[in-house]
Amino acid sequence: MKTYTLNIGPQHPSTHGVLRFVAEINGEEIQNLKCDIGFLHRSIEKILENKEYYQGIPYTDRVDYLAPINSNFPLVLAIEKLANIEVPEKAEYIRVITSELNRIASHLLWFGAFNLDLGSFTPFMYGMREREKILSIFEKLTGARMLYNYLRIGGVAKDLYEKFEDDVLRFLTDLDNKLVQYNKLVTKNIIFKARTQGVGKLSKDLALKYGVTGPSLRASGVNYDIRKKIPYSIYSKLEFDVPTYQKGDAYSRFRVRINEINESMKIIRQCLIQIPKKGDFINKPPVVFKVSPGETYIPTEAPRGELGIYLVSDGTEKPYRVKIRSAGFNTLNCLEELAIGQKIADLIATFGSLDIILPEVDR
Amino acid sequence: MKNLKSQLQNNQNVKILTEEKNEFTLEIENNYIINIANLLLGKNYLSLLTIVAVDLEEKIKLIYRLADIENNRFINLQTFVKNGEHIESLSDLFKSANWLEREVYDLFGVKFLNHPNLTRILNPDDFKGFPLLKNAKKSLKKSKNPNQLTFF
Repeated sequence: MKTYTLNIGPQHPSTHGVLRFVAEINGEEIQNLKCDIGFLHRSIEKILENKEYYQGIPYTDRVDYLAPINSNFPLVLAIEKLANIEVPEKAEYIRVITSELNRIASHLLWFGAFNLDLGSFTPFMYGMREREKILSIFEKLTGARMLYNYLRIGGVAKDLYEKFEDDVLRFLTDLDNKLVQYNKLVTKNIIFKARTQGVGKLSKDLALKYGVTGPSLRASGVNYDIRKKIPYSIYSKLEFDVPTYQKGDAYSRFRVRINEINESMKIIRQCLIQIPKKGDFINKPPVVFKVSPGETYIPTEAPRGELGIYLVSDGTEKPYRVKIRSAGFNTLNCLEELAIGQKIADLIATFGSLDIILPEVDR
Repeated sequence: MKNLKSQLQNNQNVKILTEEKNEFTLEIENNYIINIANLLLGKNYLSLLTIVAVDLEEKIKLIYRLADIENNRFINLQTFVKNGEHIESLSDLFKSANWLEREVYDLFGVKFLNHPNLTRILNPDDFKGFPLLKNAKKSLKKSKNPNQLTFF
């Protein structure tokens, strides 16, 4: 039978940004897949070379706009490492609390969007509803709802507001109950299982060869979480588990992310108990400051996997080179092979379950 | 780990730059890249996480970050490519090299030999110049005749 070529995207509701698939198909079966990326390429790396160090932070918000605080994290860590800036303990706790909240928000949105990909609309509204509560907490804290620009070199932009702890604890208790509901509605749903179990099986071997990281790798049976393996900030002081599943299908990836929400909640609860009540929230460096020459690579665990910054400094007030290592780039490369032999409808399920976001891929 | 270290020290083509608990930084000549990568692949460094390119004006520094994810070990493999020089592609050894090398080609103009599909990836196919080079402003020009994109 003759194969034919099907174009999907770049404007397609299931593509989580702007991504174009070109699929060579035989009947319903994909024989070859090419991903066309770059529609959201803004050359953030070049922009950062032309900005002073602190001016670069808002640009990293745009690397992954669903998890801006997690995206800020590696850049500020890299600058602090090269410039030898100490961060106050309280600021470290605030950073971890906010970045874990942001991880929950990102996973919740993914939870909704993935279900929407599979054709069920209700969980999308539920995911958005819970995420909204995190957004209001962030709005009170940072003044912005989406691109917070919250982390600073040496700390964070603002101290926690008075009722922050109450707001977060109320949200966490609420989410605890809601997650039980969502598990009933989605995780144990027969239709959902039929749609995801055994779909898009990513073997451990293939995942490692493509350098896939994050929840997608953990669903394939590799227990690799940078928060545990190369601990940064205060993660070494905190107790949490790394959910790992063996099967590597879309359903496993779903379970990993839902369990990660639970682990993040655990981390936030611990931080709220341990956080020092007094102390500075920022150790402010001078407005114009120079970073000693050198280079460093800082990997961090963002919601989508390893987000790393390779920072090269030549001793001036601007970075010489900033490389952003995004998890989605490797994962999307992997999809080209993963999709072969699948049905078109399963392509969308597989792609959705990998949790790829295009601004992070294109940078 | 010790076994690997002594093997690397005995290898004349490898210079160990820094050494931490679970991370090495090595410097090699660019024509040995396939050999060394093959050696490391045999030592269970299965993943190529990223390739970092840095434009040093007269040459380009490439840093390959290899990882043995299961045992939490990392190697930064550093090499230099002068203007107009080529470097062997690692796409036969590491599958992720395919896109990562295309990205380096797209932004820096480094040519990888034996790459299956060395085309632009982030910028459009008809884009002229290599934007992340330090002298990019001179070379960036908009082309007038965009070519038809072909896929298979």
